[in-house]
Amino acid sequence: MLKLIALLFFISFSSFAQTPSGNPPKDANHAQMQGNDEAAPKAAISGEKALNEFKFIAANVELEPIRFLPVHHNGRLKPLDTLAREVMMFVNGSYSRFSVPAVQAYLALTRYEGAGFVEIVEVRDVQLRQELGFLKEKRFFSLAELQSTQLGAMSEPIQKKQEQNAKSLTAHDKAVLEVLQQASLLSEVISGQHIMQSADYTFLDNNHGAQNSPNGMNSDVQAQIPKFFQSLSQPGEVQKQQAQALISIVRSQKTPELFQHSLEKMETEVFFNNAQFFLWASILSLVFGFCFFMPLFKNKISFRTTTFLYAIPLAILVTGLAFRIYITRFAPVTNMYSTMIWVSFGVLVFSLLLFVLYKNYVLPGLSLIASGLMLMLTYQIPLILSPDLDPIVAVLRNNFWLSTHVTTITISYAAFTIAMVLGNTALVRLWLYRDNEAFFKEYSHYAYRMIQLGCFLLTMGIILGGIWADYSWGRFWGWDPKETWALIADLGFLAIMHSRLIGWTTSFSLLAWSPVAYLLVVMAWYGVNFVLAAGLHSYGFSSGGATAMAIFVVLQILLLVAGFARLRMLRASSSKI
Amino acid sequence: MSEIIKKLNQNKFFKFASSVRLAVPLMLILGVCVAYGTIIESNYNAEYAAMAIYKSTWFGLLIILLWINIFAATISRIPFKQHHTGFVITHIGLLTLLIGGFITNSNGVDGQLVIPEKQTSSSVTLPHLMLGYQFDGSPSPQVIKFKKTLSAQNESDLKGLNESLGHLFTVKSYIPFAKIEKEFVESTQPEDQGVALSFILKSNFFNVNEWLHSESNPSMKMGPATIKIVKVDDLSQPMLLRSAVHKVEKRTVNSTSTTKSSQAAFLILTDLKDPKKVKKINISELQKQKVSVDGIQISLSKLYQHAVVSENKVTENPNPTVANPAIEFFIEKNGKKLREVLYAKFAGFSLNKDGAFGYRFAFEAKDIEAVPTSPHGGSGAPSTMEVAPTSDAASADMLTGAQAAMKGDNTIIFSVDPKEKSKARVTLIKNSQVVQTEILNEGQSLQTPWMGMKIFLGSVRSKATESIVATPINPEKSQQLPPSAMLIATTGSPSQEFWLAEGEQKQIQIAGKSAVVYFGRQSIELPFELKLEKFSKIDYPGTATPMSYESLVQIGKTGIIQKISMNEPLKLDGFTVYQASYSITPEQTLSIFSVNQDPGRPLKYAGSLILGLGIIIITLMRSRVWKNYLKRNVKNA
Repeated sequence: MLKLIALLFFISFSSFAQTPSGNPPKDANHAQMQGNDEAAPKAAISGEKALNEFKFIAANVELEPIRFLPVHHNGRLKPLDTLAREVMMFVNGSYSRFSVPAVQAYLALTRYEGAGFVEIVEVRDVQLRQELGFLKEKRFFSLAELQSTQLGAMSEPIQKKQEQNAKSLTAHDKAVLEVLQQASLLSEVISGQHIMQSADYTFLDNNHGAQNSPNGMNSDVQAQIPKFFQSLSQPGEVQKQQAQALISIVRSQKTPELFQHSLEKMETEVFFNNAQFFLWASILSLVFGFCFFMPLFKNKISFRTTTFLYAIPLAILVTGLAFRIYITRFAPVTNMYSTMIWVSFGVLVFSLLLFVLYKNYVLPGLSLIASGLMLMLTYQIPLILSPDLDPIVAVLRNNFWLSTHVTTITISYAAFTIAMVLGNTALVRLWLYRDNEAFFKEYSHYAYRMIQLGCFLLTMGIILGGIWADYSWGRFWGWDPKETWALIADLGFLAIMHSRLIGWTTSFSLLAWSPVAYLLVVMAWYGVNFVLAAGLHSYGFSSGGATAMAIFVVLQILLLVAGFARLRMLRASSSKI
Repeated sequence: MSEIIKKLNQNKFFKFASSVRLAVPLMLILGVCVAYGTIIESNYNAEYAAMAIYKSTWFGLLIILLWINIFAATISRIPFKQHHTGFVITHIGLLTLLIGGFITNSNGVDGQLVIPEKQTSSSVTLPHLMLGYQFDGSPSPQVIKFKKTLSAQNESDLKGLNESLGHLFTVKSYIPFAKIEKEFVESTQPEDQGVALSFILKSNFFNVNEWLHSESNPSMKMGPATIKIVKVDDLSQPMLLRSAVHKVEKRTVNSTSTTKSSQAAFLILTDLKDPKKVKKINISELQKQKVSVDGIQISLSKLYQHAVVSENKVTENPNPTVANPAIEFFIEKNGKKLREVLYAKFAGFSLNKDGAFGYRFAFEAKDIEAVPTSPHGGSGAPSTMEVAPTSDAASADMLTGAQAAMKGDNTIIFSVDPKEKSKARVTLIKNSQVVQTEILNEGQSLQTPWMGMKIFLGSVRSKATESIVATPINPEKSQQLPPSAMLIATTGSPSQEFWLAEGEQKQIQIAGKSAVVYFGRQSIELPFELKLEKFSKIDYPGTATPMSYESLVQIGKTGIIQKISMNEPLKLDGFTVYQASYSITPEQTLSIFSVNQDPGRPLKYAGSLILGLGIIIITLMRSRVWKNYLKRNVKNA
C-alpha cells in the first residue's frame, strides 16, 4: 500500500516537474538506481562546478519559516529542520558539510538541476570504494558517479540474502546495502518525492483519509509543494510567502491524535537542534576540568568557584535533557546515546557530591574531563549512537518503569565510571611518581565510596527491573542477557567490596580492579545490545564501534598488567634501599 | 542460641562456610558461568542456555552453596550487635529472595498459551518434557515428568523413569538432539504384510538413499525414472513384458478397487472462517500425485491401515482385517511445510488441532476394507505372479504417448519375495522393453546402462513396518534446536523397539492391551477457558514500528471481554496471562500468551524490600552523619 502511494506521488510529481517553469525538467531516472547509462544526462557537469552551483543555490534558500514545516517521518511529526539533518547525516555523514544548514542543503538538492552531479554521498567503507572502481582516498561521490558503477548489480544477491536471513549479512554486505540506501534516499530527495511523502500525512488519519482526494492524498499539499519549490529561485520574500502558505496547508491536515502534541513543538525542536546543549556542556566540562590541572589556575580555585564550575555544564545538560523529555514525552534513557548523556550527568552529580564531602580538588577536574569526554564521544559518532528523538518500542511505552528502573540502572554506571577514572588515574600515576601510597590510600577510599553507591543503585535497579519484568513479562528473573550482565557487573563490584573485608584487595588493587570491573559494566551497557544482540531487551540492538571497543578493552587490560608490574618494580627497588 | 553459634564458630568447616573467603570465589564463579550462558544464548537460543547453565543441576547446587554461605555468614554474627544491623538485614533479604526463586523454580508454572483468533483454548504448554501413555478406553493418560538434559542417557541413567513407568514398557535411551530418519524394520505384527527395501542410486550427478514399501510407498519418481517395489511369489521367474496382457487384466481389478476406495477414503478440508466450506480430496488422487488446494500443496507421506488398532473392536468385528486407518501427509504453503497425521477414528489426535493455513483437516475412511493400499494377499485369494501397486505405471501401455515421451519411460522395478530373505530382483525397463534383470543380495550393486547410474541394494524386509531412527546430532548455531528422542521397548513378547521423537505418539501393545505412548511437552489445563476475540498489533502511524500489541479475550462463556496488552496482563484464579508474542499470516492470526503462576512471588517481593532496606541502612550507618551522632552519644554518656 505504501509503495503504491509512493508511486502515485512520484507520478504526480513528474507531471508538475514538466510544467513550464523556466527550468528544464529533472532527470526522472534519478529516482532509480539502475546503474544503466541511460540515466546519465547528456551534458555532464563536473563535480566541482556542480558543488559551487549547488552551494550558491543553497545559500539563497530562506531558512525561515520553512524549517518549522511539520513533516511525518519514522512514527512522529518533526520539523523539516530535523528531517533534513537526519537525511544529510545519513547520506553525507555530517549535518553541515557545505557550511550551510541541513535544511538549505536539503532544499537546494530539490531545486538544483545538476544535483545528481554534486559529490555528496559518503561511501564509508574503504574497500567498497575500491571495488566500485574509485580511489580509496575519495570519500564523497555524486549520484551520477554511483550510477555508473556496478552497485546495483552487486546489491541484488545481497538483498535476496537479506530477505532469507538478515542475520547472515556480512559487514561488507551491510556496507553495500547502506550505500544503496543512501543513494536511493538521495534520489528521492532530489526528485522531491521525499518531502512530498513526509509533508502529506493526511492518509495516516484513517477516518478522514479519503476526504480530499480519492487516493487518500491531500491535493492541497500536493499542489502547494511545487509552488514552493519554484519560489526557491526567487527573492526571499516570495520564498517566505510560499513557505508560510505551505506550512498553513500542512498544519491544517487531519493529524492523528498521537501526533497532535508535536504540532506545538516545531519551533522548540528547531531551537533544540541548533542550540547543541550537549556539545556546549561537553566543551565547558573539558575546559573547566583542565582548569583544575593548570598551574596558573589550580591554586586559585576555591570551594565556591568549583561549585560554580560544576553548575554551568550541569545547568546546560539539565536544560538539554529537559528539552528532550519535553519533545519526546519519555525519560531520556531509551538508547545508547541518551543513556550516555544521562551517565555523563550522573558523573557530574556524584563527583560533585564527593567533592562536597571530601573537598578534594583533583576529583572535580578528573570527573569534569571524564564527563566532557563521554559527551564528546556521543557527539562525534551520531551514525552509531543515534541522537534521534524517534518513538520507542512497545515494551518501553511505560513512563513509570522507564523513569525508575532504567534511570536507576544507568545512573549506577555513573558511579562506576568515577571509580574507573580514579583507578585508571592510579595506574597511570604509577609511571609518573615513585611514591604513591598516600595517593592510593586517599583515592581508594573515594573509589570505594563510588563502588558502594554504584552497587546500591545497580542492585535497586535490578530489583526494580525484576518487578517490571514480573509485571509485564510474567517472571521476576529470566536470565535474559541484559539482566544477567547487569547482575554480573554487580557481582564483579560486590566481589571487590567483599574481598576488601578480608584484605584480598588493598588500597592499590581496589583502584586497579575498578576499571576491570568496569569492563563488565561496558558489556552490560554496550555489549549486550551491540555485540551479543540477543534476548528480550530488543529495543536497543544495533551495531558499530565493536572494533574500537575491543581496542579499549585490550588497552585497559594492558594498563592493568603494566600497573601491577610497575608497582612490583617500585616496591622491589624501595625495599633495596 | 549464641552458645551454639560460639561453638560453631570454632568449627573449622563452619568458619570456612561462613567466610568471605568462600563468598568471593563463589561470586566470581557465578559471574563467569552466567556470562558463558549469555554467550550460549546469543549463539543458540534461550532454551539451550537454560538447559546448559541456568536450569542445570550443578548450577542449582552452586546457588544452594551460595545460600548456605550467606546463611552461615549471617548466623555466625549472632549475637547481633548494633553495627550488624545493615549487614544482617541485607543478607536476610538476599536469603529470602533466593528462597522465593527456588519456590518459583520448583512449584511455579511458566507456560505458553496459543489461541487462534475466534477460537477457545485453556491448554498451557510447559517447557518441561513428559512421557505419557493411555490405554484404549481409559479416561485419562498416565504422565511421567521427564527433565530434558543436554547429555544422552542410557538405560541405567533412566532407571528411575522406568521404575515410575512400572516397567509397562522400557525407555532404553534418550538423545537430546536427534536427526530423525525413516526406515523399515521387520515387523512382528501379523497385520504387516508389505515388503520393503532400501536402495542407493548413484551417478556423477546424484547420490540418493531411499526406502520403498509395497504398502505405503510403493513407487517414487526420480527425474525421468520411476522406481517401484513389487511383492512377488517367486523370484526365479523373471518379470517379462509378455506378461503385459496378464497385467492389463489385473489392472482392471486394481482399478475397480481404486474406484471403490475413491468412494471410501477422503481428506477433508474445512475452511476455518466458514465451516460450511468443505473440500474433499480423494485419497487415491493423492496417492498418484501432489494435490493443490487453495495454494496449499498436499503430498502424501504414508497411509496406515493399522495405525490405531482398537483391540476390543477388532474382536467384536467379524472381519479381522478391519483397521483403524490413518494418513500421514505434508502440507505446504508459501514455503512453510507442516507435517500432519490424521486418524479416521480419533480426530482429536491431529498434529494441527487448530488447523493450518486456514483449514482444518480430517480423514474420512468409511469403507475401511477398501482403504487404498496394495492388496496384501487377501485371505483365500489366489496369489498372483505380479502384484502391482494401485497406480500401476509399470507397463508402457498405461502411458499415453505424450507421457511416455516426457517421462522417458524408464522404470526400475524391485521384486521382493517374502520367503527369500535379503534378496531382490531388479528389473530395468526402457521404452516398454526389459533392458536388464538381475537378482541382487543386500549390499550388492548393479551397473545400469543409463548414464553410468549404479543401483545398490541396501536392506530388504520381508514383513516391513515403518520405524524412525534417531541419531544424535549437534545443534547448529542460530538454527532451531533439533528435537529430542527416546528409544522405547515394549516388554511383552514379541518385544518391539522403536524411536519416539519429541512431540510424537505411537500405538503399542502393553500386556496384550492396546495403548498410545506419547513423548513431548507437558501441558496443563487452566481452570478457565479463553476465547480470542481479536488480536491487534498497533503501529506508530505511517510506520511498521509496533506501538502496542493487544488481545481481546472472552473469559469462559461469561461474555466478559478483557483486554490483555503489553504491560497490562490478565489476573485470574491465581494465574496471570501476559501478551507475549503473536503470529500473523494471511491464513491465521495467533496470539501467544505466557501464562504464569508464581508461588514464590511474595517471598521475592519481601526479599527485595528487605534487601533494599538493608543496603540503605548500611549506607546510612557508614555515613558521617551517623558516626557523628554516635560520637555525641558516647560523649553524653
